[in-house]
Amino acid sequence: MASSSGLAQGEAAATGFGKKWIFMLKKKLLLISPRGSLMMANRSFSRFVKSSVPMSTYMRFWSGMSTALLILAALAEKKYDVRVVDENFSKVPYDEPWDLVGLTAVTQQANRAYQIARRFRDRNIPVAMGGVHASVMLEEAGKHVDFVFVGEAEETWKAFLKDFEKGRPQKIYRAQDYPDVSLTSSPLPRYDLINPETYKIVWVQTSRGCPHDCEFCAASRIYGRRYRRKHVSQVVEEIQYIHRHWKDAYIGFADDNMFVDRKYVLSLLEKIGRLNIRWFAQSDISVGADRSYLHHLHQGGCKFLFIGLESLSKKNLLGLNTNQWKMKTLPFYQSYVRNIQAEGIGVFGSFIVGFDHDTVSTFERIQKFILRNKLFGAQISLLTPFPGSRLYTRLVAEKKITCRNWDQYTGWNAVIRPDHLDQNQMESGIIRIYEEIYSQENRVKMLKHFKSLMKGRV
Amino acid sequence: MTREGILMIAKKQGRAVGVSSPKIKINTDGKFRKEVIRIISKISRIEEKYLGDEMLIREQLAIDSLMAIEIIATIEKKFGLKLDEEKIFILNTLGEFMEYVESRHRRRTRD
Repeated sequence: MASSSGLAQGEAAATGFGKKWIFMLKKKLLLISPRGSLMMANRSFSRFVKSSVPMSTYMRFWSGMSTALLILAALAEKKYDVRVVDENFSKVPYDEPWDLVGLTAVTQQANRAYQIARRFRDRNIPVAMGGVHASVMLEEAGKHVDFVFVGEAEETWKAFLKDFEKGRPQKIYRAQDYPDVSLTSSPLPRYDLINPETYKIVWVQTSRGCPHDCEFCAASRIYGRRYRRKHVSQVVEEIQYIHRHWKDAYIGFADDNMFVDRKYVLSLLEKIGRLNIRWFAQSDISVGADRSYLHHLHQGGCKFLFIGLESLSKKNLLGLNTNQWKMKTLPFYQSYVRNIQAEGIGVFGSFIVGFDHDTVSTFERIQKFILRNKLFGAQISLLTPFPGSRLYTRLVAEKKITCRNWDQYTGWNAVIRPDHLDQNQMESGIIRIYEEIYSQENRVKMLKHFKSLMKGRV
Repeated sequence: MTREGILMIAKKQGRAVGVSSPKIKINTDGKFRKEVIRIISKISRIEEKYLGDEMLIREQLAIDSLMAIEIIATIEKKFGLKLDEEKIFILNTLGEFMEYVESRHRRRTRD
């Protein structure tokens, strides 16, 4: 292991014992979010994005930094001089003398994470890896890194750092073997370690857990469905801290489902009202049932909601959740979208294509729904069997997975063979929807619609 | 370091570290202009002192098309103007937007 700490690189903390001063040199920890390919792994999509201003803006907007590494940085800061690198925006500093490297990755970043790990391990610098992919593919990850983290890492990371310091780290740290992670004792993420100029949005997490257990979702399987939340005062403190770095921060609430506890959100809005923030969140469509609640959200700075509508086919939604929740809400999609947008909040609808009941006509159906209902925005992705999800298990059994190159697991590349669509139909079909809904003509129609709604509200 | 510790240090240092919007003094002559800036500030939730003429609407102020149309709708309703939605895609800086709105206002006053 390279030992590199020194005054030249690290911070020095002085501790007084009587008249003696002992200088404790901090070790150097590098935390990396590897480069992701996202839409760019699909070449046709890449060309389209580069040629479309709305799509480029869309891509740029969503490139926020998750709080995972910022929490790990906070947990390590007592003994480590920490740097956080997002490879989408800056180069990995391979040649500096690091004592430890930590990586996090979703599936489409996994191969890149392994490449980065190799460069450091070639120099005898130990590498740890966590995140969704390593949590479910621990044997695979274990071949490329020294230490693997399974599940939420707050408790395992603390245990690992102690073991590492003693020179007795384990190969695998499983969250289930440690105390349950309590969000109320979660540290303030080190937002100060990222460059405010880099990101359009800043992610803040108030809760974890989603009750719906969708078949395609790996997160709820790995991190559990149990709903847990931070104290309101904690979230307020985080937002105040962010405001010291970004005076005009656009907050994205990263919760899987922001309005599971609606009273909690109202008390949060009451407290953050004086901070005058603008924000958006992820939600299910049921929030659209209550106009009065939506009015409070808009007054509290909510600009738009990212809502997983998934499919417009009852047959596709049947079986998506064990409790059929999504299917039961399908009849309300239009009226709830109307309610939300009538309160001045945009709906950013998320749709998935590639279910077994989808055909070539599915693309047109989704496109018409988006345009007819004047959705503020939409994300249309292809059904992707992320390892760890129930969908992955089913499609492996049905032999419908056609590609196992994780680089292609972006959500915009076809990696499965559904019953009625082929790869080309899927990949070109979603591009056609984007071209249509983000054309200037249709954007102007959407804006005129909102202008008329908003003038009625002024 | 504790959460309180981090906050304390940030407070002592007076950060604003890397505040993304440079403080550019805007020309706030004229009641109309002041009122438009106040509307933009209220809807975008950005303090008026950061709304400088040179600021890029999308890139620096992160004012998306939804916020932009809310701003336009409010200005139209308040001042009886008719503004073109397509300008949202064309105008890049806040100064360009102000110039456009002021020109519409002047034309209406003249007519």
